[in-house]
Amino acid sequence: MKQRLNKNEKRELLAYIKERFGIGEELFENYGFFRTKEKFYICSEACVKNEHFGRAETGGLAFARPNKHLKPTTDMLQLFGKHAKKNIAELGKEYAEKFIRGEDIIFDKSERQESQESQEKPAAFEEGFVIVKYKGHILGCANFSRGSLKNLIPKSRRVRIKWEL
Amino acid sequence: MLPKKFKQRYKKIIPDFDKFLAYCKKRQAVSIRVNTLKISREAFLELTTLKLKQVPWYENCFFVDEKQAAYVSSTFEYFLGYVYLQDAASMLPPLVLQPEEHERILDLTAAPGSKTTQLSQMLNNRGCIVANDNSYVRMRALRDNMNRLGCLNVLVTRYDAIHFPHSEFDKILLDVPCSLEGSMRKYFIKWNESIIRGFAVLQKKMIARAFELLKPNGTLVYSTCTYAPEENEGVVQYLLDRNDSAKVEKIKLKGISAHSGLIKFRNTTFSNEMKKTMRLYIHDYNTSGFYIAKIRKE
Repeated sequence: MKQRLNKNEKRELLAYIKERFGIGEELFENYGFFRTKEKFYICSEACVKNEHFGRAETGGLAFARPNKHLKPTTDMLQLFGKHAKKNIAELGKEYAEKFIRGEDIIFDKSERQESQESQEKPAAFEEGFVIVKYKGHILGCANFSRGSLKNLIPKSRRVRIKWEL
Repeated sequence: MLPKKFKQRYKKIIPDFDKFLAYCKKRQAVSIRVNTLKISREAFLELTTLKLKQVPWYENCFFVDEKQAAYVSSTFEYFLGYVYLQDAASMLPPLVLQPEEHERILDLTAAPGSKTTQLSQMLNNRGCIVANDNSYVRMRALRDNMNRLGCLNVLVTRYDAIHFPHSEFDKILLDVPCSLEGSMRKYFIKWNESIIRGFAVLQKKMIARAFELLKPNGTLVYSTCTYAPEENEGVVQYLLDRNDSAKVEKIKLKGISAHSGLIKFRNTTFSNEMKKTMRLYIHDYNTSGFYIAKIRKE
């Protein structure tokens, strides 16, 4: 059962995204939001106003899951994550490869010290959901906890990348 | 190996038939569409390691070098949703439809979503496309493709196309289920003439319903990936015979040189209007074979 988000629900959802990632609400001004039991969805404003909206099975793309903490989806982050200002983990090539394969990234102690100067900065973001990047491209979402990034790329999207063909 | 009946059937209507037969044994060109919802064409060309050749009729479409074709889905750009693997000929129907943001658009047989996601991209994620399909399994593929490519302007409905509830659309894309003769190099198909007849019955019901759902002055694009005139000109003729307000429009596309629709097949004669429809064969550009008709409701 789809239900359009009212103004307060939309504000609450976007406030979390702003607080966690620094993505401003204004970016989502012209979009419609709705929810099902499992997920929040984002779609074009025209979609939620369309006469078929009520009878549609689904629409747009999944924005976040309302777990204990809102979990942003990989698809949403790949589309809007470039506007994020904080809680971004920028990985090097080796880690990026592992992450896309679906592996967790465990930073060891020495890496944590080295990372103060390198691109990989496990200490630079807060515990919780973070955006994972490689060379400016958004790979997806991870849960950062105790110095490691728990991989949240959906299983169906994981792949062993061939860089050189 | 093509069935003897198949060769007899098409020898007279497929131009340069020997070349066509030679292409039946050749591997089909693999092509990609750059997903401009996520990356610009220019930025993609800077990023990619794929060796690409521009497809002349659509700036976001490229043929992939034969040696790299099998690995496209293992590339970084594929993972990021920057590209979609789609036959270059199958990108034609959305180009013929020319969707615009303010219009009400229906893709009546949408899954797995190649053309739907292309329409979404052509509208730059604005407006609304109603993407319908009746198969739950195929709809999951549509859903996955929409997610990977970041399509926000699509609503997914699940109706049998011929029972789609009454409403009115400015533009409708009807890429019907067909006997897949034009995709024989991609899929293993069991070919016989009774299959063609069966599809034609279904397609006539579908085109009739699609036309009913069209607003006056609206446009319907009908397409198949098959050569059988019963599923192509025969279906369009069926619609014209029953609707005075249905008018075939000439297809104008830049960068492609295709063949006109047929006006005669065996003992059946079709209206001269069929010359305005379009046939593409596998030996034209090493793509799938396609048939496209553009119909306006007066």
